[in-house]
Amino acid sequence: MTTILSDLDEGGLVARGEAGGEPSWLLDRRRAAARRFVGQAWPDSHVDEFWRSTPFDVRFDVGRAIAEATAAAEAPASVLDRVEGGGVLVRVVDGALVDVTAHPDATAAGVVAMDLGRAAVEHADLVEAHLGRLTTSGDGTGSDEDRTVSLSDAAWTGGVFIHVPDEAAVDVPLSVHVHVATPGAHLPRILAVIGRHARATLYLEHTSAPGVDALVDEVAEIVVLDGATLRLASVQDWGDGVQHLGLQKAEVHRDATVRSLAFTAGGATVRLRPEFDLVGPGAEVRPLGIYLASDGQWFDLQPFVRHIAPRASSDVLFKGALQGRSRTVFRGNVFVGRDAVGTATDENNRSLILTEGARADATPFLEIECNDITAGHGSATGQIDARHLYYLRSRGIDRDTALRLIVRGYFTDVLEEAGLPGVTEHALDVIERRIADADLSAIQVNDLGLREES
Amino acid sequence: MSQTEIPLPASEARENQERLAQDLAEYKFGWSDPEAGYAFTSGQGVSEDVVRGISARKGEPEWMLDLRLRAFRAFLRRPMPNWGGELGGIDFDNIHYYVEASEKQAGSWEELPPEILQTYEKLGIPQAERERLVAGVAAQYESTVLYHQVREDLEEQGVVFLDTDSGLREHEELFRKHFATVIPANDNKFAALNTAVWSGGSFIWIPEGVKVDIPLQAYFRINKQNMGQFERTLIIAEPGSYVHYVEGCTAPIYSSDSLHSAVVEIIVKEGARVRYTTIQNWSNNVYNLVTKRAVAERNATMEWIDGNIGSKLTMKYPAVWLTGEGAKGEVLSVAYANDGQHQDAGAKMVHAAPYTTSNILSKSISKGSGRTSYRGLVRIQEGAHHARSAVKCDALMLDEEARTDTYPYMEIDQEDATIEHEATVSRVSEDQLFYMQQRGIDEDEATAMIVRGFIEPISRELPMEYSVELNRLISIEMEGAIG
Amino acid sequence: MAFAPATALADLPDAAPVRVEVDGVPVCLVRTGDAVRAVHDVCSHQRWSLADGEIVDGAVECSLHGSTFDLDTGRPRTLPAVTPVPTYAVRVTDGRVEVDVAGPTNGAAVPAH
Repeated sequence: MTTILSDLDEGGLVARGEAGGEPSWLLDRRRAAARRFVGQAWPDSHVDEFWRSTPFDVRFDVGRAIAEATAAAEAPASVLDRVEGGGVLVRVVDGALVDVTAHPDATAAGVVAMDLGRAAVEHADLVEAHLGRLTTSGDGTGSDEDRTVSLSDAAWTGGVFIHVPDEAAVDVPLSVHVHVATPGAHLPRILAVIGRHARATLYLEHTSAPGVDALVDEVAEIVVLDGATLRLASVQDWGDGVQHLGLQKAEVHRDATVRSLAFTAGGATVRLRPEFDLVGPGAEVRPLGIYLASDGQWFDLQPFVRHIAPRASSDVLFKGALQGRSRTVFRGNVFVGRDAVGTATDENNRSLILTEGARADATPFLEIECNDITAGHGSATGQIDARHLYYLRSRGIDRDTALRLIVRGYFTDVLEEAGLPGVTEHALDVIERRIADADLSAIQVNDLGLREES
Repeated sequence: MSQTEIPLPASEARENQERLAQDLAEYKFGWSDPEAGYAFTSGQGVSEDVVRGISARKGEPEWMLDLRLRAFRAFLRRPMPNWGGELGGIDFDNIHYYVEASEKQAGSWEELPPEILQTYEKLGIPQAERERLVAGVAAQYESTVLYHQVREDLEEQGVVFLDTDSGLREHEELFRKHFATVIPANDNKFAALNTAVWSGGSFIWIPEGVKVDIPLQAYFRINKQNMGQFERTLIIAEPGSYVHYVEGCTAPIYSSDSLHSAVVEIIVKEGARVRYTTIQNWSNNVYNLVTKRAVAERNATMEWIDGNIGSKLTMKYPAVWLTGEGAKGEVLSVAYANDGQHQDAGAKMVHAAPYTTSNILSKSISKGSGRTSYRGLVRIQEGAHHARSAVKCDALMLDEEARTDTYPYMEIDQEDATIEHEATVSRVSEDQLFYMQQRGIDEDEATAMIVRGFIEPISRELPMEYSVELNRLISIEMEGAIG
Repeated sequence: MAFAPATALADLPDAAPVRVEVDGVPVCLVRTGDAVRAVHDVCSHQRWSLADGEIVDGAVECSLHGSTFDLDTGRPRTLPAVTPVPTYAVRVTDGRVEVDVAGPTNGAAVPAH
């Protein structure tokens, strides 16, 4: 199949699903999404508010066909390799699930990690109940209005289903590693259901082979049921040729807790939507984010928290560092519905501009329909403060080392709080490498504070 | 997470309680003058003929007519904004775009026609006049300026303070040089409409080095049903000069929708300073859609103080383009929305030169089912190095059905910019109310005091009679008795 | 000077902006009588094609927010734009219009949005 995305018709969109012998309810959903897709236009930054900062037609090339898996490609190491004892690893390469590495603790707890198409048959009750539910939110908040999401709903391939049963306490991390080795368009799909009062750690890893040009349109739906605790991480470690559209959405039920980290360092263009619907009272989310943008990269990060139920709390913190001619957009949305009495919400974004030419935009939005809440947000953009540098240098530390320490320290609190085995080590490595690759002499510090004091 | 701390201005409360005792307890501005001798009206609806008619009636030069026509074409072409508030209720065909009152401009208070004098007595203006706090008063009745008084020393200093029509007539070259350069004819749909049918407003020119120490004021109001108000103000402050311009208005209540689409352009040249204060109190069927923008050149300062109370929908974002090194821009904005009202207001700061600073402070209050939205932009263009910007927006929600939004946009194209933004949302605490009720202050007045404390950082910047009017209005609003 | 072909003079209406691509660069051409002027076809204020607008008094008006750019200097005569757009040299030979996009004649930078 060599039809490019824009030219796909209903039949072309659901061809794979039909060929795969999927159950009729699933095919019906694909067809409904395909009809939606055909009737929609690609996002237009002059018209669509959520696309205001990123020109879709410039940053995303939809003139590609859905890639077919060719010869089995080697996926690079997973962050689980850094975790003592490992964990459960599901590998998806070029739209096909290639292997699942089990872990005795997870197996014993009844964890399911398998191909989504198969799960639609073997775990029909769960898959039918939840697949596509989070992407077709009927409240007009955007999920079902985006052609890129309709595309995934219609034509996803190589899907992964994860289930952690009720009451299961799984301490070993479960990771879905999406790897892209063939040029073209890729549509990975993940559905994870974390059962009542369960405990789990879920990673979504994203890598690509060097020199591969690809468009990745990913949707991950994560349902966190009553009383469950989830540590979630998504690591965007793409090569330079990848354009990534990622909707990574969690629905958080009564008294459930999610702590998540979105780590974005790779890819030419990454537009990430880490979203959280707080549907049960007492739900708690702590969305953390780290981004490192280098020359030529464009990251549009849109954490969206919807307080639908009362007494839920959210605290968003995204920190980034930019160098070279890079662009990041932080678009943080918080919506508090009229029934969300007792909401506590806070949102913070900090961007550190290391060198000339980098641009960090921020638009932290709040829409509030209930007054019995506490809400705030803050945003700051600036350079390394010369006073910090001065302090370290006065202790005999050379400039380059001092700069490394400052940048590392800037992210440490977020990583420590996230507390994600394997991911933390990997993130620190990436940060170190970025600093090492940077032209430290080009890093500019802001001496306004120093001048004011003297 | 932070909860706003709201101080209680006790002395102010006492003062205002006294004033309240004197005043009527209901919204006293809810009346309409009987048909007070309208001389000319363009009829309902707008068309190219109406535009030509307006220009001909004023005897304008050809270039102004050309500009009006071009703007009218742009107005027709442009779609309605798909953001901000709900604009569907505006019926463009059901509005009078130009109405002229019967009398020529009077030279002093005594010469005003009796029914108009009556209007101003009801508004309490003679009192203000007697207090001699103002240097010049230009009263706009309907779309024509009726009364205009300029003090002798202003004339001596060479200050020009005219209605816009006279400004065009008497200072055509100066006017043409600056008109529609800050807000061009095709900037947005409503600025285009204004450029096509504008009438009235103020034209102010302050010569180099002249500092006007007393605020220049203007009063105007919409009177006729379905009246559109399209005044156009142009202020030019030459290098080193200073002026404070104050506008405030009231409007009666009536049943069909009313549109107020004003445009204010301000040019603050090197080292000059302009402060523009507005307290608006529109009745809740008015669409108040205003484009206000200033250019601040090298080391110039522009301050917008914007108070928005009432109206069905206000969309207003006073802006400063900082185009000269060292320029400063500031917006202090207060917005209040009650049942069925929507205030979508904020500020825009564009840093287009080095060492520029901007400051935005927004305080919004929503009561009943009212909705307030802060919408702001801070843009640092490439090359505007060492820029600094701080934005603080606080929202106070008084009731359960109230709604508030914050939409701050920060676009930063310069690595050494220092940008800060902070927003809080809060409500009146039970403890505060209880404390005041213990002291014999009823809930409505207690809430009014808290609201006044909440906006105090801004209201203290207002000329005294405006802060008094504002405080009075807050009391009226808290009592929920709006005519 | 590196003139590259743009279009035929006969294909350019008088006093109306036309968008062409010359060596991958978007150019807005405006014909006045037999003379043709060229500016970069992206507004310096926001990403929009100047050719979508109209000609006003020797300037092209951006239809998005109304800034008018002088066709000789590339400078904006009004806000909201504050930066000039590049102007390019044009040569008309035997009814063929050629534009040199290698170096803007007014030294202005190409807008990067």
